[in-house]
Amino acid sequence: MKKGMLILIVLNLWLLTGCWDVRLLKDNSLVVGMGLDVEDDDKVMNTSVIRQIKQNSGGTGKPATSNVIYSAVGNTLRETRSYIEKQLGGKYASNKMQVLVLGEDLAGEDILPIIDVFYRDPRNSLGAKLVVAEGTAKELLNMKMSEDVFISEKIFKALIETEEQTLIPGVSIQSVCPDLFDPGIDFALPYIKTKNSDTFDVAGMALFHDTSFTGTVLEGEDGTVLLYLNGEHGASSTLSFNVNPEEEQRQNQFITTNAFLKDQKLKVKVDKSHNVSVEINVKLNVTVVEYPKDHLFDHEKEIRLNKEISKQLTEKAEKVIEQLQKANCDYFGIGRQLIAYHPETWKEIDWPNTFPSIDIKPKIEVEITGTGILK
Amino acid sequence: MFRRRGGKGEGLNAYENPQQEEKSLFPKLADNIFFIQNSLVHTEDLIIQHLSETESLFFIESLVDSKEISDKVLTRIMNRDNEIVCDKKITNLYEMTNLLLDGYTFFISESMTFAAGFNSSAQEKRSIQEPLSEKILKGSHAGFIENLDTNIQLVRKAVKNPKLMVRYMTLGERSRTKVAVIYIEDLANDDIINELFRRLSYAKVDYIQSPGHIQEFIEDETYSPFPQMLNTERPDRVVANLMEGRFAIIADGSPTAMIAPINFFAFIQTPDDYNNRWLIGSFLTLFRTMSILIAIGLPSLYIAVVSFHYEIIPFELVLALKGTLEFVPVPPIIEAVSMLIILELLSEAATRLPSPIAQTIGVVGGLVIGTAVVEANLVSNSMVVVVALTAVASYALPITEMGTTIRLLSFPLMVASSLFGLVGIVFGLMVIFLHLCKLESFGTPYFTPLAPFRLSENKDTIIRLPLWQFIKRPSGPRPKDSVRTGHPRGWKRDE
Repeated sequence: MKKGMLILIVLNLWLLTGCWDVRLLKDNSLVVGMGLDVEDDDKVMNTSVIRQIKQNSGGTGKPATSNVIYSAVGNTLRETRSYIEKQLGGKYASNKMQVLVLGEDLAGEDILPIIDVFYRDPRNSLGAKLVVAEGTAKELLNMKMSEDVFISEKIFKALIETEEQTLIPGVSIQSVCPDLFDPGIDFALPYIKTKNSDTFDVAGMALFHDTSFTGTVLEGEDGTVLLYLNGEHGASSTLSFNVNPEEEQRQNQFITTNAFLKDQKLKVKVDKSHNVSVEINVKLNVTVVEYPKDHLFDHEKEIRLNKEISKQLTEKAEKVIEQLQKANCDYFGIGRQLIAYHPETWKEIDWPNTFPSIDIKPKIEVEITGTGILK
Repeated sequence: MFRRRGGKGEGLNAYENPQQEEKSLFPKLADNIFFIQNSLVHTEDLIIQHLSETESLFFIESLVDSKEISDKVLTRIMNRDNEIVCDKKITNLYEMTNLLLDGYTFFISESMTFAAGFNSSAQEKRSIQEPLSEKILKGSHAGFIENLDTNIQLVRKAVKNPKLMVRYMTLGERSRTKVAVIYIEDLANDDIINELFRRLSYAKVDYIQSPGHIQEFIEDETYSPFPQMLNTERPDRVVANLMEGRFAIIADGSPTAMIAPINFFAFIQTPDDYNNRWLIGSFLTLFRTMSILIAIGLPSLYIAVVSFHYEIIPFELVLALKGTLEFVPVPPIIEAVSMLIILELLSEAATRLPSPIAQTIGVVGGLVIGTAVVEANLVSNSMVVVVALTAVASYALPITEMGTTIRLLSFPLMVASSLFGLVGIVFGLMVIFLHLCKLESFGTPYFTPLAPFRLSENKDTIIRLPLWQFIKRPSGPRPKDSVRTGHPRGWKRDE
């Protein structure tokens, strides 16, 4: 009996805790997108897109929602958050955030101190996409609705789509974390351009050196080539090449292919005087999706096309690497390989100063594996 | 094996054949009549028919079939020569009284030293039907009825085994209910059978209506939410369990048989699993296992998610949930509990009412309460979905007893999850599993074959493998003979 009473008391004690850490979904204001900019006096401006549900929707049917945008300026991110909470009738909940937009100016500085809070708080949305916006993030997010779709969702979906097309790397707050802390590897973030008042465009890859934006953006196919050189790939990519410059009609000059990464090898060589040279070999399989000239059943022609496309891609790759070195963005993580396999060299050289001048030889081989149902 | 508590263990026979007082027949008819009338408290349906000065016929009018008396009893009495042809020769008057209550007719003559008993009991019974609560698609549709003899007959017809043992006893000091324990002598473990009779020997009560009454006297842990004996109205289920070395208890006047020692997974199996091909059986069993998880965990998981961890669900779903929850004035736990109470009320009302009115309850419950509650913003749409799913899942379990237990257990789990979120669920489930692992049914582990884990016996827990793989009997009830089959598919090897 005494034992029973004791158990009863202990069980009831739990009820006295009063749900102190409860965080009801309905009491939280969901932040779906956040934009960070730097203000004139070096303070941080936080622009938050908050999803709110309209009263008239009741409990039935589809809830009517709207985006509300709040901005606040503060010394740290948490400070701006508490300023926003003052304006907001609910708790600021950034744990379902989809995109974190960094303004161009803010990205140009060291971004680590600013996004530090995302790694520190376990409840944060680490899967949120990290992007750099042309101009300010506030401007981009203030679209509110882009073509009838909420801006944060629209950005998120556009990013997913461009990732699948191998135009930008698939990065999230989580995935850049190791790169931020590693001196031997740099990263790139998607770069978004505002076109007009309610459209934007995922333009390409914003190259970062260490933890700050270099100002260089690889646009279009350049990004694709860089990703392939690094062994990254989405679902596929669409590449066009001018293979018949002598044709009169412009469409006849081109071949359009869907490319798939087959193999990528990166070799780092270091000689005795600590000269670093790198070879990157990439093999691509492509299927022809558009080629009005046809006659691909001819093996000779196919080989000629293979060679031509490989040549053009390799040239492009050389240009991309030139840009990369100019921006001093060690996207391939060559430094990491040096740390791992050639630690003496790593100690000897000053990597940020060496990287722009090392010898990187790319080679892309292309093989046509499919031509669609036409030959 | 069994914890033997102190106290006197009376012999088995004491209750199997209850000690009767002896009172031999009086030589005088009048004395006999007087004695019988006295012992049956001069009840008015006791008929004493005087055939002559020295001969009388005794029977209880309400218990006998008058056709039997006129056709059988009277003919035999009339046509007797020296020896009367009768069913029973009784000299003990107490025994005679008991047999009168069983529907016997007695003929007493001063010229005989015994009373001649004729079985003339009226067999008032309903026909054999499929049990309402345990319907199946394929297989035998027979169900037990309220008559003990018919029930035993149903079992015996399915197993024509000379080793099938039926042991009768009379329980209930005043109701004198006939109870039968059935088991297969060369399968059932002696220790378990002895333990059963030992426990039954303590069951001195005045009235027993059904095996359910006995269950609470002999169960290992009556305070456990889990039933440690399987109540069924299906003869095929009884037979299947007898064949695994378990025993069944059937009481007269009740269509329910109690099977023990049983394990948890027997409650989620149906004869359907075995009557269909194994793939279909596995599919159904898998779904039933899933329904247990849904019934016990879904409401609490929902509460935990919307009040603590909404970041674990996908973005679109969060928005949808937030949309339905936004204007509900009460916390999720109140929402869930009130909805589940409504559900229990509806189902209880529908069970008690005659079926035409029960349909009205369905309409009132489903349409009026279901939609109105949501439109009035008292409960969220998503909660209605969760509660409905939980109810459907718990009703999908073949034994209603277990379904209700599971539904019941979801309540403490909901409280735990509303206090501590997922951590609460983890701790709640931990307590439940600890209990399940510790629980015993007649000294055999209740949660076997998962705890203690026996891989080879998991062939029909979550999935059901082809029957020819069940070479050994489950070791739970510790059968005397563990080998079940030879090689039913040996023909393939011998090709």
